[in-house]
Amino acid sequence: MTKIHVKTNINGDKVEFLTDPRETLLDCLRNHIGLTGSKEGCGTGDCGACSCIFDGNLVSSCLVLGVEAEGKSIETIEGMAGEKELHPLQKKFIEMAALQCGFCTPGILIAAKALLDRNNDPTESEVRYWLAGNLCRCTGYDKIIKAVMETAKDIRETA
Amino acid sequence: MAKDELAKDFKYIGTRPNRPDGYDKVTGRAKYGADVAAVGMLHGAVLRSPYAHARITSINFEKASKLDGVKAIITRDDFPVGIDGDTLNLLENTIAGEFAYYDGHAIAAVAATTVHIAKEAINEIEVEYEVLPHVIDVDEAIKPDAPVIKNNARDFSVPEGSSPNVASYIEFGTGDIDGGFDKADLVKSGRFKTEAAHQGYIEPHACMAQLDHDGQGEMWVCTQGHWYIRQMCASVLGLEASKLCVTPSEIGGGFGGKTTIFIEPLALALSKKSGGRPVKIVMSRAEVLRATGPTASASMDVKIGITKDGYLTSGSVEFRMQGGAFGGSPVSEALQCAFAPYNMPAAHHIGYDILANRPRAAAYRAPGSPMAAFAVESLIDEICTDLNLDPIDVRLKNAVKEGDKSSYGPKFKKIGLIETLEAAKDHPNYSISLGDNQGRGVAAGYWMNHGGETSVSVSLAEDGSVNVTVGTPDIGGSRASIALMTAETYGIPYDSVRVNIAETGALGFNEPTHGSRATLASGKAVYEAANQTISEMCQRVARKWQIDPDAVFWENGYAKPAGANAGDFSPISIKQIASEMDQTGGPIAGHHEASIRGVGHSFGVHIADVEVDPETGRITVLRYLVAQDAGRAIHPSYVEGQFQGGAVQGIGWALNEEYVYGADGCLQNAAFLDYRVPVASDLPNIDTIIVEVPNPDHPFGVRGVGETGIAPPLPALANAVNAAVGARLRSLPMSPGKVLKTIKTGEDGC
Amino acid sequence: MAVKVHLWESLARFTDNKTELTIDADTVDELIYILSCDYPGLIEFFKSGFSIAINDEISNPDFNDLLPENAEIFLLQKLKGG
Repeated sequence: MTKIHVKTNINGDKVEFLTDPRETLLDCLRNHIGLTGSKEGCGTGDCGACSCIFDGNLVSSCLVLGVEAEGKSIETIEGMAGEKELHPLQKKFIEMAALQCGFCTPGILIAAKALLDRNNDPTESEVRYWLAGNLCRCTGYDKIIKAVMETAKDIRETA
Repeated sequence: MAKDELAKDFKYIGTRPNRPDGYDKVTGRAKYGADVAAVGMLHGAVLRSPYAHARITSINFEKASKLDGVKAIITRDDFPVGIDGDTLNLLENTIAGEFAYYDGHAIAAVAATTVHIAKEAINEIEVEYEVLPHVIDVDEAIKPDAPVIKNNARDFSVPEGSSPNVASYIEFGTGDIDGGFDKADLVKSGRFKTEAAHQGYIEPHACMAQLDHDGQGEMWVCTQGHWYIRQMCASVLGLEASKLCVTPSEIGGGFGGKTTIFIEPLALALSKKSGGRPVKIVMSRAEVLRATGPTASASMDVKIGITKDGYLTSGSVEFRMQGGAFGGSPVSEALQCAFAPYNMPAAHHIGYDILANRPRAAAYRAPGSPMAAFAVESLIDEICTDLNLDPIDVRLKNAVKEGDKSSYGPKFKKIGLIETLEAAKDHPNYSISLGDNQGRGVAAGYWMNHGGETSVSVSLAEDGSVNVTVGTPDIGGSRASIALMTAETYGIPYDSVRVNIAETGALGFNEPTHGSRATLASGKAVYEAANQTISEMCQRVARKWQIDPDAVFWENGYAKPAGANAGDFSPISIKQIASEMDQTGGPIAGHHEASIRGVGHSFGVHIADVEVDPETGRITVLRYLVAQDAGRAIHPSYVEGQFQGGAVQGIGWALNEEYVYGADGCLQNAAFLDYRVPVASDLPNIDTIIVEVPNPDHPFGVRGVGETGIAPPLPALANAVNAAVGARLRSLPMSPGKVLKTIKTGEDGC
Repeated sequence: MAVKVHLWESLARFTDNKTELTIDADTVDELIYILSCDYPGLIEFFKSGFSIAINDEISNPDFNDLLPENAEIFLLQKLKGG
């Protein structure tokens, strides 16, 4: 199938790629741009391992077509850390052992950041429901929820 | 190490440092199975059977092979003939021969220049099937009129006259069963059923393989055990094992499901047929659910006798488990776990491993133990309710301790069940008052743990930091625990240790990260290897000082003279010894290879509080406690993580998860939307108590913590539901419809 | 060395219905050899893989292990971990 030329912005960088119109944004990120931090756990929008920010909205990038990225702005896990240090959520996840295998971690971090960017004082229930679309099979979520709550607290205290 | 040292204070063990692979895993840099590519790489796709049971009468791939970009198509004809035994089962499951045995069974595979072309080609392959009768349910499969799945499936253990779908049979016991029941004041029995559950790792199976016609090949693969992958691929493809180099990627969960082969030999065969180009195959979620190992489904009969003051007198179980079309259900392990927590004066166990037209079962966390716990711990709870006895007290009265004979034979060494029961009983969760439609359930669980074949090496870098090389992939923080044990052994900072997971060529054979063994076995081996290097360092320092090597000892990262007789020397640090290595005889490295012994049994006790909506049957878990004997928690955060993760997998198995088959024998819920694993909003925090009764046969007291935690949730939740609304479910999962039916009719779901 | 070997009942079909045997063997290898000669029905069990408990220590079998006098030995099915 003829490929389509897409111009987009990923993590602040201008990016161009050619895509088969059947490919998802996740396919393009992983296979054309070399950003393999976003993961495919299901391909049907159920697991959240491919979570990205798409023009300010949290999406499952496996449910977005690559061609839809034209002219958009996309944030992935690779753009989460600052130049000098990790994002507070990334730091807290390591400190509080909020990951085991780490496969769901990029998607959960992206989703949790999207929550804290909107609301830095969520209740535990709000965190649990916000992250209900991100499956983790290793941790039982306990340490993930605690790490997000603690990060929110740190963000409030330093604000 | 002497037993008295187990009580000593550790400097690093028991602390909670950041894991060494933390940065890689929070930044997206860590490379998992599907994250690599190679120059000239092709993409593979697999054609799978749409029928539960069929004879394959013809495969025509002429049209498919003409598609632009298709480089290789393989069927069973591309694999060796003359294979038998377990290897034949592995091969048959990898790619079907004359028969497709389950929905999703691989029939053919394609390698093409793009994924899309490979998938198009799969659709163009024409297969003619003669559909055969199928059987899915374990009890149906051994009825006299059940379809026979395979002739000659039974092994040596199956008595004459058994159903042809029985693959193996096991029976053992001790004591006078009938006499025991005669002595009981209450004898209770019941049938319990559990459905197949999938390991549900979020990372689908993925590999990239390359194989030349000279038999040399390489593979990158997400697996719990790359030597197993090498051994199995070599055996089904007829390769020499050492010519195949297998590198493990980071692994996105396994829980037992990534200890065997599925797509790996297909990728190798496709590579060979396409002239040695690398071939990558990544499974879809539907393929994972349809064609990789879930665990077994089970039908279990239990009978238990007890005195009115709560002492068990006798118990018998008959477990029937289907492990798919090739056998291999964990029925033997289930029987070993069934009565393991208790002193049973008499116990008898019978088990059948049964074939059904389902995917070949793979190991799943404490294989067999959750089913056994569901049956036995539920029935014990029914007894406690009938006799109005406290469920923890009854378990304390019967709990095994050091020196007691286990229900399957050998005596227990030092174990911590009593301490764990007491810790659970003392926890505030056991006394919080409950409201309407709320109930509390208690259950115990057991896993024997495993040592296994292990090979490690340790080497000093020139600056005195230490490289550790192990063969057990890190699934849940084992790099951190191994680095802690290494730091403790040398007396050097945790940050000065780097733990690598090596490919198959770098070490001797390693069993996978399974059986709760990575920290136990690799840790014990690293301790031995590190001590070799310490001994070498002491010898070099003795030469430098020109004293007897025995007069030098090691403490906190320094070689020191041992007392007045050794002379007056200043201690020499590992840094200095390392910096002088090139002038004192060259590199310093140690290694250790063994089948690791000194395994410590692990017991856990869970307390679950639930609320049941009597109008909808929906169960909400209000609070949840895991108490488990870890022996010694090397990195307590990751020990808690194992407890919590195991418990939540058990909660999913108890409440939501099941394989749903249609009348056609095809899996109907091959997606995460319909195969529903627990999500964050389903759950409360999972409270934990790490009980530490050190394993005397491990240098740091480790028992292994990974598996026990999945067993107790199944009965604990069933017991809690009964306590909440008086509905006793003896069949899992306790989905809302089933709960409602039990509330209304009193039927137990079996 | 005389050692006591415990077999699960499902194997007793191959051992004249005995679940306890006293065998004179110095090593695991010798023990397995003697059992295989005396009770050929057990050969398939040994071939299928097994775990062994020698004086209550359960492990993969090491065929060169020396057996202590009066050792208590259990032959168990090979363990599968998850």
